[in-house]
Amino acid sequence: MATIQQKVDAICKSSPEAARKLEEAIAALEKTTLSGDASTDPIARLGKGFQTFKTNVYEKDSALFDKLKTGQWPKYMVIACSDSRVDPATIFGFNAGEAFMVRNVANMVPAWEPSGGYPSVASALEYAVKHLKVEHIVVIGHRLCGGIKALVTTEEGQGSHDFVENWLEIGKAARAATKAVVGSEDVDEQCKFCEKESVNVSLTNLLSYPWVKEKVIGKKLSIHGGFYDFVEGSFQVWDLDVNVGHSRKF
Amino acid sequence: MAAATATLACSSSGIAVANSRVTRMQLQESSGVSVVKTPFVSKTPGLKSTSRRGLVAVHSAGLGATLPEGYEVKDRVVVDESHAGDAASGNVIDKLKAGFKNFKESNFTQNPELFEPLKSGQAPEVMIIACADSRVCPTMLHGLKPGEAFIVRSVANLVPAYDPSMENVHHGTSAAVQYAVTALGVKKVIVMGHSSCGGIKALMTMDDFGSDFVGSWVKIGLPAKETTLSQMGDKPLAEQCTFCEQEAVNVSLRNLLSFPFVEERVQKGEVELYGMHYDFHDGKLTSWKAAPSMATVNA
Repeated sequence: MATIQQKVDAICKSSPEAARKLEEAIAALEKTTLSGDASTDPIARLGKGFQTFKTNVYEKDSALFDKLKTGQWPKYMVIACSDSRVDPATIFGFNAGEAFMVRNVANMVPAWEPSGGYPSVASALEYAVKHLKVEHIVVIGHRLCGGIKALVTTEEGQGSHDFVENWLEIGKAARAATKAVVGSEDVDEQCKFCEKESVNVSLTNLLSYPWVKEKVIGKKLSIHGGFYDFVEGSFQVWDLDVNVGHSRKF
Repeated sequence: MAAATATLACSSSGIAVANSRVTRMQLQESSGVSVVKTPFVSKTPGLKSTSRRGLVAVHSAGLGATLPEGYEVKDRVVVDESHAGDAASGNVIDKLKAGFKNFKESNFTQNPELFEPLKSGQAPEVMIIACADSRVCPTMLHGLKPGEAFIVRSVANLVPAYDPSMENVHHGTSAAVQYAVTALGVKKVIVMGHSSCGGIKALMTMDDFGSDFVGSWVKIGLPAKETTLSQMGDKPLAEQCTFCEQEAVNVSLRNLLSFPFVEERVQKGEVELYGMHYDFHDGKLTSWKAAPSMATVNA
């Protein structure tokens, strides 16, 4: 019974046409979703990027990556926009294992709702606070956010009633504050205001989760707002302080 | 009417109403760049600082208006390359400040050909739906630059099926998919799972999916659990999880196709769907394509 190698040799010897067909068949088998020209094919680019990561980071920092095989102990939870320009790892240099990260349109945190729906943020928050026991939550907004612009330029209930509008309505209090305070200014100024105020709405919504509020008051967890402006090249950060006064009995 | 509303918003917020003086602390001047550290003040509408490079125009009036009683914004700091942070202090804000300063100096200002066009907009070709796990950041794993990929991150990188009901429901992932596909026109959508995923482990080990948020979310992956148990029911949990991590990606890909605006573009060849799995135990990346099958008719 001829081995595969013997068969290949026989085919290659038999005719150039057969040899050529065999080469094509082998190339097709070797082709993967990641083999392509990384300069033109985004998927091949991801594969090549991974190889670079593996060589330059993963294998070089084996102490860190070996530890991370056993678990994760991030101190931070970051909630940022999905915008391709604002990845927190790039902007703040987070290493693997440092930040548990949620990214969605316009970095929104919906208020606590005990049941139903698709709790994309609530589930991540629950995992981060209750299981991973992160110490800091940072909500980062950014300049020129398409989501916030849509929020600012759409009146409540007047939009296309699609998923994007439904999601952005989480920030409607920020839109109201924007119209009240800077409603007479141009759209760009209104957006700049709303981008920051929607972070405050998300921070307030974080505190609507009882187990978040409890930890913040108990000083086990602190929450922060941030704003990345890539037009000016600046970053702002602020804390949210929760003051619960002493109750007095009469 | 607008002015009255503004006053109402400010005074009911409880924000710094009693302390309405603006305090400028630590005003540092170096090479024409200033850093301002000021508490938020909401009782002086119209207060606006003029902007020089690094001194960000501050709409301090009214910011914080949406915060309820008992909450106040404090310690607002603006950072650019002139800011002297203290990275070694271990303090989270110092870490963010130092990280940003480093990014600004070594990346942002060094690569204007990359960052200037991004001020006009974004045109990423790729959308990646990845896990929120701190170990699986797509930009790190693939060396992605700003502008390359629109990224969604959630527990176990799940995509729910198309559900057009809007009552009492927030559609975070659906909104991101809609925005990426219809507004940004991404050409490839990738769902990327990973090894030792806590969300998938929860899916495999939980019985009651309604008792908490994690359960309510990961139940999106229940079809993957069923497939896993039917094919790997006799294997140890770790092996089941590895299988389920990849099968849950397929569930998400199937769910993506339940969105009309995704399915029609996939059929036309305008959008391609990929699944990926990052295994950080072996340091390997697996990738596959979810392509419409070519229908053949045997006459």
